[in-house]
Amino acid sequence: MSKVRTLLAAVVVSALLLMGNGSRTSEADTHRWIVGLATTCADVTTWWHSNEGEFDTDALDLVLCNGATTSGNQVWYQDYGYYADLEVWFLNHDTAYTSCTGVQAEIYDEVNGWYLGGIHYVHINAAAGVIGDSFVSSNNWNLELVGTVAGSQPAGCPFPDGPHLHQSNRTEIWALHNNSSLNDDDPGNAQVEVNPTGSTSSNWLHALEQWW
Amino acid sequence: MVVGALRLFAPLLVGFLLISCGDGDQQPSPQTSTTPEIELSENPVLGQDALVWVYDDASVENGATCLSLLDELVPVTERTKVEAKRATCHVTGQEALSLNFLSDSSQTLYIGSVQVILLSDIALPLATLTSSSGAQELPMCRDHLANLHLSTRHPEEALWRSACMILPPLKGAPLQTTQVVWATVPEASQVGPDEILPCWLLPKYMELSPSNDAKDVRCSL
Repeated sequence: MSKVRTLLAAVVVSALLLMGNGSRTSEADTHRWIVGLATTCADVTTWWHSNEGEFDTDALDLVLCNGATTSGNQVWYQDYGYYADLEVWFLNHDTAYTSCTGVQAEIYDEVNGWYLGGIHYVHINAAAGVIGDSFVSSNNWNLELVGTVAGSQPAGCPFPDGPHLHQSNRTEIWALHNNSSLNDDDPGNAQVEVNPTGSTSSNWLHALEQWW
Repeated sequence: MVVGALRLFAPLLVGFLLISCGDGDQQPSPQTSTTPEIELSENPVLGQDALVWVYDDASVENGATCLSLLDELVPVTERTKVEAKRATCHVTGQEALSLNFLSDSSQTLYIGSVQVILLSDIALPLATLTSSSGAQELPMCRDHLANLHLSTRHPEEALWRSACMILPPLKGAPLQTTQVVWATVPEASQVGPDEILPCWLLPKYMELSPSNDAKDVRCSL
Protein backbone atom coordinates (compact mmCIF):
# COMPACT_ATOMS: atom_id res chain seq x y z
CA MET A 1 0.00 0.00 0.00
CA SER A 2 2.85 2.30 0.88
CA LYS A 3 4.40 1.59 -2.51
CA VAL A 4 1.22 2.46 -4.27
CA ARG A 5 0.92 5.71 -2.35
CA THR A 6 4.51 6.58 -3.13
CA LEU A 7 4.04 5.82 -6.78
CA LEU A 8 0.83 7.76 -6.92
CA ALA A 9 2.51 10.72 -5.32
CA ALA A 10 5.38 10.58 -7.77
CA VAL A 11 3.04 10.38 -10.71
CA VAL A 12 0.70 13.11 -9.57
CA VAL A 13 3.32 15.65 -8.72
CA SER A 14 5.52 14.81 -11.67
CA ALA A 15 2.54 15.20 -13.95
CA LEU A 16 1.94 18.67 -12.61
CA LEU A 17 5.57 19.55 -13.03
CA LEU A 18 6.00 18.10 -16.48
CA MET A 19 2.83 19.55 -17.87
CA GLY A 20 3.72 22.93 -16.53
CA ASN A 21 7.21 22.83 -17.97
CA GLY A 22 7.61 25.50 -20.60
CA SER A 23 10.67 23.89 -22.11
CA ARG A 24 8.63 21.02 -23.52
CA THR A 25 7.79 22.82 -26.74
CA SER A 26 11.32 23.88 -27.56
CA GLU A 27 12.74 20.45 -26.85
CA ALA A 28 9.87 18.75 -28.67
CA ASP A 29 10.00 15.76 -26.37
CA THR A 30 7.17 13.37 -27.03
CA HIS A 31 7.87 11.15 -24.01
CA ARG A 32 9.77 11.46 -20.76
CA TRP A 33 10.78 8.70 -18.39
CA ILE A 34 11.41 9.27 -14.69
CA VAL A 35 13.23 7.24 -12.05
CA GLY A 36 11.97 3.68 -12.05
CA LEU A 37 12.36 3.11 -8.32
CA ALA A 38 9.04 3.40 -6.53
CA THR A 39 10.11 6.27 -4.35
CA THR A 40 10.02 10.03 -4.13
CA CYS A 41 13.76 10.27 -3.47
CA ALA A 42 16.65 8.40 -5.09
CA ASP A 43 20.41 8.83 -4.78
CA VAL A 44 22.68 8.42 -7.78
CA THR A 45 25.58 6.16 -6.81
CA THR A 46 27.20 6.24 -10.26
CA TRP A 47 26.66 9.13 -12.68
CA TRP A 48 25.92 8.53 -16.37
CA HIS A 49 27.98 5.57 -17.52
CA SER A 50 28.01 3.01 -20.28
CA ASN A 51 28.91 -0.57 -19.42
CA GLU A 52 26.26 -2.79 -20.92
CA GLY A 53 28.57 -3.94 -23.68
CA GLU A 54 27.17 -4.42 -27.13
CA PHE A 55 24.97 -1.37 -27.27
CA ASP A 56 25.67 2.30 -26.63
CA THR A 57 23.75 2.86 -23.46
CA ASP A 58 23.95 5.50 -20.81
CA ALA A 59 22.86 4.65 -17.32
CA LEU A 60 22.45 5.94 -13.82
CA ASP A 61 22.87 3.65 -10.82
CA LEU A 62 20.18 4.48 -8.28
CA VAL A 63 19.40 3.56 -4.69
CA LEU A 64 16.87 4.83 -2.21
CA CYS A 65 17.93 7.99 -0.41
CA ASN A 66 20.22 7.99 2.62
CA GLY A 67 20.91 4.30 2.71
CA ALA A 68 17.35 3.05 2.97
CA THR A 69 17.08 -0.61 2.03
CA THR A 70 16.90 -0.80 -1.76
CA SER A 71 16.78 -4.56 -2.17
CA GLY A 72 13.27 -5.71 -2.96
CA ASN A 73 12.07 -2.20 -3.79
CA GLN A 74 9.61 -2.10 -6.66
CA VAL A 75 10.70 -0.76 -10.05
CA TRP A 76 8.17 0.72 -12.47
CA TYR A 77 8.28 1.75 -16.09
CA GLN A 78 7.17 5.36 -15.67
CA ASP A 79 6.77 7.35 -18.88
CA TYR A 80 4.80 10.52 -19.46
CA GLY A 81 3.63 10.75 -23.07
CA TYR A 82 2.64 13.94 -24.82
CA TYR A 83 1.37 11.82 -27.72
CA ALA A 84 -0.21 8.37 -27.83
CA ASP A 85 2.19 7.03 -30.39
CA LEU A 86 4.37 4.25 -28.99
CA GLU A 87 4.14 0.51 -28.74
CA VAL A 88 6.14 -0.77 -25.78
CA TRP A 89 7.27 -4.36 -25.37
CA PHE A 90 8.91 -5.76 -22.24
CA LEU A 91 11.71 -8.28 -22.71
CA ASN A 92 14.34 -9.90 -20.54
CA HIS A 93 17.51 -7.85 -20.38
CA ASP A 94 19.92 -8.91 -23.11
CA THR A 95 22.57 -11.12 -21.51
CA ALA A 96 24.90 -11.31 -24.50
CA TYR A 97 27.52 -9.19 -22.74
CA THR A 98 26.87 -9.72 -19.03
CA SER A 99 24.54 -12.07 -17.27
CA CYS A 100 22.91 -9.32 -15.20
CA THR A 101 19.19 -9.77 -14.76
CA GLY A 102 16.74 -7.12 -15.80
CA VAL A 103 13.93 -5.96 -18.02
CA GLN A 104 14.18 -3.79 -21.10
CA ALA A 105 11.29 -1.85 -22.53
CA GLU A 106 11.63 -1.87 -26.32
CA ILE A 107 9.93 1.06 -27.96
CA TYR A 108 8.43 1.20 -31.43
CA ASP A 109 6.51 3.74 -33.46
CA GLU A 110 2.98 2.42 -33.22
CA VAL A 111 2.03 3.48 -36.76
CA ASN A 112 5.10 2.55 -38.79
CA GLY A 113 6.64 -0.05 -36.53
CA TRP A 114 9.98 1.74 -36.50
CA TYR A 115 12.28 0.80 -33.64
CA LEU A 116 12.89 3.88 -31.55
CA GLY A 117 15.02 2.58 -28.69
CA GLY A 118 14.93 0.94 -25.32
CA ILE A 119 14.78 1.79 -21.66
CA HIS A 120 16.67 -0.76 -19.55
CA TYR A 121 16.12 -1.67 -15.91
CA VAL A 122 19.04 -3.84 -14.78
CA HIS A 123 19.87 -5.64 -11.50
CA ILE A 124 16.21 -6.33 -10.95
CA ASN A 125 14.10 -9.48 -10.80
CA ALA A 126 11.35 -9.29 -13.40
CA ALA A 127 7.80 -9.04 -12.11
CA ALA A 128 5.47 -11.92 -12.84
CA GLY A 129 3.89 -11.54 -16.24
CA VAL A 130 5.88 -8.54 -17.44
CA ILE A 131 8.11 -10.38 -19.89
CA GLY A 132 6.34 -10.48 -23.23
CA ASP A 133 3.76 -7.94 -22.13
CA SER A 134 3.10 -4.89 -24.31
CA PHE A 135 0.89 -1.84 -24.55
CA VAL A 136 0.22 1.14 -26.76
CA SER A 137 1.21 4.26 -24.89
CA SER A 138 -1.22 7.00 -24.01
CA ASN A 139 -0.77 10.75 -24.01
CA ASN A 140 -0.61 10.59 -20.24
CA TRP A 141 1.22 8.47 -17.71
CA ASN A 142 2.18 5.01 -18.90
CA LEU A 143 3.00 2.78 -15.95
CA GLU A 144 3.93 -0.86 -15.62
CA LEU A 145 5.50 -2.75 -12.73
CA VAL A 146 8.65 -4.30 -14.18
CA GLY A 147 10.22 -5.91 -11.11
CA THR A 148 12.02 -5.54 -7.80
CA VAL A 149 15.64 -4.67 -7.04
CA ALA A 150 17.66 -7.88 -6.74
CA GLY A 151 19.86 -8.88 -3.80
CA SER A 152 21.82 -11.35 -5.92
CA GLN A 153 23.04 -11.44 -9.49
CA PRO A 154 24.33 -14.31 -11.64
CA ALA A 155 28.08 -14.76 -11.30
CA GLY A 156 28.82 -13.28 -14.73
CA CYS A 157 27.40 -9.95 -13.59
CA PRO A 158 30.03 -7.73 -11.91
CA PHE A 159 27.71 -6.35 -9.17
CA PRO A 160 30.43 -4.99 -6.82
CA ASP A 161 28.14 -2.29 -5.44
CA GLY A 162 25.31 -4.50 -4.23
CA PRO A 163 21.58 -3.91 -4.69
CA HIS A 164 20.73 -0.94 -6.90
CA LEU A 165 18.78 -0.09 -10.04
CA HIS A 166 20.83 0.46 -13.20
CA GLN A 167 18.50 2.46 -15.46
CA SER A 168 19.63 3.27 -18.98
CA ASN A 169 18.57 3.98 -22.53
CA ARG A 170 20.09 3.12 -25.89
CA THR A 171 21.80 6.31 -26.93
CA GLU A 172 22.65 5.30 -30.49
CA ILE A 173 19.04 6.01 -31.31
CA TRP A 174 19.13 9.69 -32.23
CA ALA A 175 15.72 10.57 -30.87
CA LEU A 176 16.36 9.12 -27.42
CA HIS A 177 18.48 11.18 -25.10
CA ASN A 178 19.36 11.46 -21.46
CA ASN A 179 18.99 14.40 -19.16
CA SER A 180 22.65 15.28 -18.82
CA SER A 181 21.76 18.41 -16.87
CA LEU A 182 19.79 16.49 -14.32
CA ASN A 183 19.41 18.66 -11.25
CA ASP A 184 20.78 17.73 -7.87
CA ASP A 185 17.68 18.11 -5.73
CA ASP A 186 19.73 18.17 -2.53
CA PRO A 187 23.12 19.84 -3.07
CA GLY A 188 23.99 19.28 0.60
CA ASN A 189 23.99 15.58 -0.05
CA ALA A 190 27.28 13.96 -1.14
CA GLN A 191 25.49 12.20 -3.98
CA VAL A 192 23.24 13.62 -6.64
CA GLU A 193 19.69 13.23 -5.42
CA VAL A 194 16.95 12.72 -7.96
CA ASN A 195 13.58 13.52 -6.56
CA PRO A 196 10.86 12.90 -9.13
CA THR A 197 8.63 15.30 -7.24
CA GLY A 198 11.27 17.85 -6.36
CA SER A 199 12.25 19.68 -9.51
CA THR A 200 10.17 21.84 -11.76
CA SER A 201 12.35 21.36 -14.80
CA SER A 202 14.66 18.41 -14.42
CA ASN A 203 12.97 15.45 -12.87
CA TRP A 204 13.16 13.13 -15.85
CA LEU A 205 16.00 10.79 -16.87
CA HIS A 206 15.34 9.93 -20.51
CA ALA A 207 13.31 11.57 -23.25
CA LEU A 208 12.21 10.80 -26.78
CA GLU A 209 12.22 13.71 -29.20
CA GLN A 210 9.71 14.13 -31.94
CA TRP A 211 10.89 11.81 -34.72
CA TRP A 212 8.36 12.28 -37.53
CA MET B 1 -2.44 23.61 -19.41
CA VAL B 2 -1.21 23.95 -15.85
CA VAL B 3 -4.67 24.83 -14.64
CA GLY B 4 -6.09 21.86 -16.48
CA ALA B 5 -3.53 19.60 -14.94
CA LEU B 6 -4.29 20.94 -11.49
CA ARG B 7 -7.98 20.27 -12.00
CA LEU B 8 -7.20 16.78 -13.17
CA PHE B 9 -4.78 15.77 -10.46
CA ALA B 10 -5.76 17.87 -7.48
CA PRO B 11 -8.23 15.28 -6.13
CA LEU B 12 -5.58 12.59 -6.32
CA LEU B 13 -3.01 14.82 -4.69
CA VAL B 14 -5.35 15.73 -1.87
CA GLY B 15 -6.19 12.08 -1.41
CA PHE B 16 -2.55 11.19 -1.23
CA LEU B 17 -1.88 13.87 1.36
CA LEU B 18 -4.75 12.63 3.49
CA ILE B 19 -3.51 9.08 3.29
CA SER B 20 0.03 10.19 4.10
CA CYS B 21 -1.11 12.06 7.18
CA GLY B 22 -2.46 8.82 8.57
CA ASP B 23 0.60 6.81 7.65
CA GLY B 24 2.23 4.81 10.40
CA ASP B 25 5.83 5.35 9.33
CA GLN B 26 6.18 8.87 10.65
CA GLN B 27 9.24 10.11 12.52
CA PRO B 28 9.37 8.74 16.08
CA SER B 29 8.25 11.18 18.72
CA PRO B 30 10.98 12.68 20.94
CA GLN B 31 12.29 10.37 23.64
CA THR B 32 11.49 11.42 27.20
CA SER B 33 13.31 8.62 28.97
CA THR B 34 16.74 9.36 30.42
CA THR B 35 17.95 5.93 29.37
CA PRO B 36 19.48 6.14 25.93
CA GLU B 37 17.45 4.02 23.62
CA ILE B 38 18.76 2.48 20.48
CA GLU B 39 16.50 2.53 17.51
CA LEU B 40 16.81 2.31 13.80
CA SER B 41 18.22 5.59 12.66
CA GLU B 42 17.28 7.58 9.60
CA ASN B 43 20.86 6.89 8.52
CA PRO B 44 23.66 9.44 8.46
CA VAL B 45 23.26 12.37 6.12
CA LEU B 46 25.44 11.97 3.08
CA GLY B 47 28.07 14.64 2.67
CA GLN B 48 27.92 15.67 6.30
CA ASP B 49 29.78 14.70 9.44
CA ALA B 50 28.40 12.11 11.82
CA LEU B 51 29.03 11.27 15.46
CA VAL B 52 30.09 7.65 15.79
CA TRP B 53 30.93 5.45 18.79
CA VAL B 54 34.57 4.27 18.56
CA TYR B 55 36.97 2.41 20.84
CA ASP B 56 38.63 4.63 23.41
CA ASP B 57 42.09 4.09 21.93
CA ALA B 58 41.02 4.88 18.37
CA SER B 59 43.02 7.54 16.61
CA VAL B 60 40.69 9.59 14.46
CA GLU B 61 42.07 12.13 12.02
CA ASN B 62 40.17 15.22 10.99
CA GLY B 63 38.11 14.56 7.89
CA ALA B 64 38.30 10.79 8.20
CA THR B 65 35.53 8.96 6.40
CA CYS B 66 33.35 6.71 8.52
CA LEU B 67 34.28 3.83 6.26
CA SER B 68 37.97 4.29 7.05
CA LEU B 69 37.10 3.91 10.75
CA LEU B 70 35.23 0.67 10.24
CA ASP B 71 37.53 -1.41 12.44
CA GLU B 72 37.32 1.22 15.19
CA LEU B 73 33.53 1.34 15.35
CA VAL B 74 32.04 -0.34 18.43
CA PRO B 75 29.27 -2.80 17.47
CA VAL B 76 25.91 -1.72 18.79
CA THR B 77 25.54 -4.93 20.79
CA GLU B 78 28.77 -4.21 22.66
CA ARG B 79 28.32 -0.48 23.18
CA THR B 80 28.13 -0.64 26.97
CA LYS B 81 30.81 -3.28 27.47
CA VAL B 82 33.95 -1.46 26.39
CA GLU B 83 35.64 1.87 26.95
CA ALA B 84 34.57 4.03 24.07
CA LYS B 85 34.16 7.61 22.96
CA ARG B 86 32.39 9.70 20.36
CA ALA B 87 34.26 10.72 17.25
CA THR B 88 33.39 12.63 14.14
CA CYS B 89 33.69 11.17 10.67
CA HIS B 90 32.56 12.14 7.21
CA VAL B 91 29.75 10.30 5.48
CA THR B 92 30.29 9.50 1.82
CA GLY B 93 27.99 7.57 -0.46
CA GLN B 94 29.65 4.26 0.21
CA GLU B 95 28.77 4.35 3.90
CA ALA B 96 25.12 4.46 2.97
CA LEU B 97 25.48 1.44 0.72
CA SER B 98 27.63 -0.74 2.96
CA LEU B 99 27.08 0.19 6.59
CA ASN B 100 23.92 -0.08 8.66
CA PHE B 101 23.94 2.25 11.63
CA LEU B 102 21.67 2.54 14.60
CA SER B 103 21.44 5.65 16.70
CA ASP B 104 20.42 6.75 20.16
CA SER B 105 18.57 9.87 21.10
CA SER B 106 21.80 11.89 21.09
CA GLN B 107 22.22 11.01 17.41
CA THR B 108 25.35 8.99 18.13
CA LEU B 109 25.69 6.26 15.54
CA TYR B 110 26.54 2.66 16.36
CA ILE B 111 27.54 0.16 13.71
CA GLY B 112 24.92 -2.55 13.38
CA SER B 113 25.92 -4.59 10.36
CA VAL B 114 27.88 -4.30 7.14
CA GLN B 115 27.00 -5.37 3.62
CA VAL B 116 29.33 -7.53 1.53
CA ILE B 117 28.99 -9.30 -1.81
CA LEU B 118 29.85 -13.00 -1.58
CA LEU B 119 29.97 -15.69 -4.23
CA SER B 120 27.23 -18.24 -3.70
CA ASP B 121 25.64 -21.28 -5.26
CA ILE B 122 22.12 -19.89 -5.01
CA ALA B 123 20.63 -16.42 -5.01
CA LEU B 124 20.44 -15.83 -1.26
CA PRO B 125 16.81 -15.18 -0.36
CA LEU B 126 15.62 -11.79 0.85
CA ALA B 127 13.47 -11.45 3.92
CA THR B 128 10.50 -9.11 3.98
CA LEU B 129 10.90 -6.29 6.46
CA THR B 130 8.16 -5.64 8.94
CA SER B 131 8.22 -1.92 8.21
CA SER B 132 5.75 -0.40 5.82
CA SER B 133 8.42 0.35 3.26
CA GLY B 134 7.90 -2.95 1.51
CA ALA B 135 11.64 -3.25 1.02
CA GLN B 136 13.27 -6.60 1.63
CA GLU B 137 16.13 -7.12 4.02
CA LEU B 138 19.35 -8.76 2.97
CA PRO B 139 20.08 -12.09 4.71
CA MET B 140 22.84 -12.63 7.24
CA CYS B 141 25.83 -14.22 5.51
CA ARG B 142 26.49 -16.71 8.29
CA ASP B 143 22.93 -18.05 8.00
CA HIS B 144 23.82 -19.30 4.54
CA LEU B 145 27.28 -20.80 4.99
CA ALA B 146 26.20 -23.96 3.19
CA ASN B 147 25.39 -21.94 0.08
CA LEU B 148 28.48 -19.75 0.03
CA HIS B 149 31.42 -20.50 -2.23
CA LEU B 150 34.31 -21.73 -0.08
CA SER B 151 37.85 -20.75 -1.02
CA THR B 152 38.72 -24.40 -1.63
CA ARG B 153 36.63 -24.18 -4.79
CA HIS B 154 37.42 -22.18 -7.91
CA PRO B 155 35.61 -18.82 -7.98
CA GLU B 156 34.54 -19.31 -11.58
CA GLU B 157 32.39 -22.23 -10.48
CA ALA B 158 30.17 -19.92 -8.45
CA LEU B 159 26.75 -19.28 -9.92
CA TRP B 160 25.78 -16.09 -8.07
CA ARG B 161 27.06 -12.95 -6.41
CA SER B 162 24.87 -12.25 -3.41
CA ALA B 163 24.66 -9.29 -1.08
CA CYS B 164 24.42 -10.27 2.58
CA MET B 165 25.06 -8.77 6.00
CA ILE B 166 27.65 -9.41 8.71
CA LEU B 167 27.68 -8.32 12.36
CA PRO B 168 31.08 -6.79 13.12
CA PRO B 169 32.86 -8.53 15.99
CA LEU B 170 34.14 -6.86 19.15
CA LYS B 171 37.78 -5.84 18.75
CA GLY B 172 40.07 -8.39 20.37
CA ALA B 173 37.34 -10.94 20.93
CA PRO B 174 38.24 -14.60 20.34
CA LEU B 175 37.66 -15.57 16.75
CA GLN B 176 34.57 -17.52 15.92
CA THR B 177 34.93 -20.61 13.82
CA THR B 178 35.64 -19.18 10.43
CA GLN B 179 35.26 -20.27 6.87
CA VAL B 180 37.24 -18.71 4.06
CA VAL B 181 34.89 -17.78 1.24
CA TRP B 182 35.03 -15.88 -2.04
CA ALA B 183 33.82 -12.30 -2.20
CA THR B 184 33.57 -9.60 -4.85
CA VAL B 185 35.16 -6.17 -4.65
CA PRO B 186 35.68 -3.45 -7.27
CA GLU B 187 38.53 -4.21 -9.66
CA ALA B 188 40.45 -1.13 -8.52
CA SER B 189 40.29 -1.94 -4.82
CA GLN B 190 43.53 -2.39 -2.89
CA VAL B 191 42.89 -5.98 -1.77
CA GLY B 192 45.77 -8.17 -2.97
CA PRO B 193 45.23 -11.55 -4.62
CA ASP B 194 46.82 -13.44 -1.70
CA GLU B 195 45.23 -11.46 1.10
CA ILE B 196 42.53 -13.02 3.24
CA LEU B 197 40.81 -10.20 5.10
CA PRO B 198 37.93 -10.59 7.51
CA CYS B 199 34.86 -10.32 5.29
CA TRP B 200 33.29 -7.65 7.49
CA LEU B 201 36.19 -5.30 6.65
CA LEU B 202 35.68 -5.55 2.88
CA PRO B 203 33.42 -2.46 2.74
CA LYS B 204 36.57 -0.41 3.40
CA TYR B 205 37.67 -1.45 -0.08
CA MET B 206 34.38 -0.82 -1.86
CA GLU B 207 35.11 2.45 -3.61
CA LEU B 208 32.48 3.16 -6.21
CA SER B 209 33.69 3.19 -9.78
CA PRO B 210 31.84 4.01 -12.99
CA SER B 211 33.07 0.85 -14.68
CA ASN B 212 31.61 -1.50 -12.09
CA ASP B 213 34.40 -3.91 -12.96
CA ALA B 214 34.86 -6.43 -10.21
CA LYS B 215 37.37 -8.98 -9.00
CA ASP B 216 37.03 -11.94 -6.69
CA VAL B 217 38.99 -12.06 -3.43
CA ARG B 218 39.01 -14.39 -0.44
CA CYS B 219 37.84 -13.39 3.02
CA SER B 220 37.23 -15.08 6.33
CA LEU B 221 33.68 -15.21 7.56
